[in-house]
Amino acid sequence: MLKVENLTYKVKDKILIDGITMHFNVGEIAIVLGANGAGKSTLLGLLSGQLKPNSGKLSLVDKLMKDFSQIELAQKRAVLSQHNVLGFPMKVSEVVLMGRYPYFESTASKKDLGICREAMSLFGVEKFADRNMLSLSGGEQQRVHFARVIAQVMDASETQQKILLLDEPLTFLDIKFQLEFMEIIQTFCKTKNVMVVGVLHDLNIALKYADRLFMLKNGQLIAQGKPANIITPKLIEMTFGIQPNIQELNGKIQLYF
Amino acid sequence: MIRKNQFLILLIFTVLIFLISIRFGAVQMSTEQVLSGITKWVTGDTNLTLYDRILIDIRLPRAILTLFVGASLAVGGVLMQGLFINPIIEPGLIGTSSGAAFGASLYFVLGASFSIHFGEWTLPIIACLGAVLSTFLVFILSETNRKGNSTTHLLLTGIAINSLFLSGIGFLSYLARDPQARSITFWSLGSLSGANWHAVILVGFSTLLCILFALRYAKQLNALMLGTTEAFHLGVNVKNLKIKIFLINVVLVSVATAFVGIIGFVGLIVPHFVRILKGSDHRTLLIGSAVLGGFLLSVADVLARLLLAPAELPIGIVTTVVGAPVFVYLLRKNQYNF
Repeated sequence: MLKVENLTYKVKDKILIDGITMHFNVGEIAIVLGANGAGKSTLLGLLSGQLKPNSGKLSLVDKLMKDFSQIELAQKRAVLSQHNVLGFPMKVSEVVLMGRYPYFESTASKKDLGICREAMSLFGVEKFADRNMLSLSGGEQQRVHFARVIAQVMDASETQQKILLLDEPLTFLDIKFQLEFMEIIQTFCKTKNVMVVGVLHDLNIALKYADRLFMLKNGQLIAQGKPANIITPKLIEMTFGIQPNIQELNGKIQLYF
Repeated sequence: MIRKNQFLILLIFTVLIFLISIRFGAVQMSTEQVLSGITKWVTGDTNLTLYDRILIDIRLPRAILTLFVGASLAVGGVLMQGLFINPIIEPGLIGTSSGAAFGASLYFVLGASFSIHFGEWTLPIIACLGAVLSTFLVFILSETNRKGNSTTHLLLTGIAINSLFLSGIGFLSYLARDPQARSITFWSLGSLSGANWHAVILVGFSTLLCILFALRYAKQLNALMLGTTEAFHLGVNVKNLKIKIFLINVVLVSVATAFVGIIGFVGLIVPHFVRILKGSDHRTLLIGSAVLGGFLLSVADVLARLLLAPAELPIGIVTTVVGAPVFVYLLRKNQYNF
């Protein structure tokens, strides 16, 4: 379990994250929603260690995050971001192997290589393994990065809980692959001891895949709970300032604007 | 098959060019003379002919120094391109070579009035000091400024300091009398003719040590190709890495430059050759560039000695004239996407 207690982050006098308390469980997809500027990215920055909180505590299974070394953290936490670039040409298999860098000194173990193969087949990129990364299309490259990041947290266990952070990874993907990706992540998080915490813009996708939703506004957590209790006209209007049309179709809720 | 053995083939060619390099020059030597000279040198025989002396005191140190200098510049290029995640970087771009050239120019113009002298060491020491000073200046100026992307900042500061030192060299050339001005020009185009065993030992030591250190950071440099944020998520302490890579590069480039002057293009193109052939994994990239750098500089040095024999061309001219078209050809021929 990842616990966030009374987390506050400010830049000069501007409070960007205001005393947030929340927790995340393994096997669960948690999605943070909010309008632009609500503090979603800042919160993710704090969870990923890119930003240091002014006050408050972050702890993973009762150990404070700041007491882990940087390498230990990289073994426990991976971040999937929306835009990845590779500065120089490299083989796809070499890029995926980077996900295992926190685990070996100079030579990858059999286990590391096996995990890379598993991650590549999960995203259907094993057929590219020997290709130059930069010769692939944008969507294919993104899938390779997904495989790399998943490889980083693939070997989670009961005693080694791991965190997968999603920083709007769907932004540049077509709708088919957005859904495919979320299905993969859902299965992954249910079968491994991984907690998924994401920032997404698409409310329908959040509704479809999240186990719990968190609503942010002005750096404060204004609501949290099961999607059906959070995606309500009142809360949506409060957060985004527009009124949605909520319809039920075959027992599933859909939003229209 | 050929791809697998590329490294072996490169090593064989390097040995060949090394042998060619010690055979040819102002005085031609036969293979027997070369072999007998080397035998005497290895066994410590003191009964030396003139040819043996030329071989042991001039040709051998020069050929070995060339290998080390080529390796230093190429590895410096790998490190700087990797650190800045930018393919157009030369190791000298962060101020190192212009600082070295400024130091050397000071020596040529004002050397006679210096109160401290170290004999044959005076020029290398001053050039090296100049290189360290300018690079250090670049680093301090960019690191104490907390605005924006510090990598871009480091690069732009390097460009600014480079221009400053280049105009300093221009001013010294303007003050200089003719032979001094020519010395500045020659030094800025590089030459290996000053090679001796002291230089070989010092440059060799710095080259091997720096490559060993650099190899320890190969994995982290790979991760850095994904950008500083992703590298951080993979457990790389980017700030720390930057300082270490920076220091390794300064030692490599300033020690080599101090003895041979400025040799352009090797640091820029050799890493690209290796990437085209072998990809960008820094473990292969560092070792491959070291060997290829030594090989190409040896070829350039042989050409520099033979093209206008018995006169000798500045090697910087050869590396650039030969390197530029070959590089453009490779870029156009291969699928080498940026």
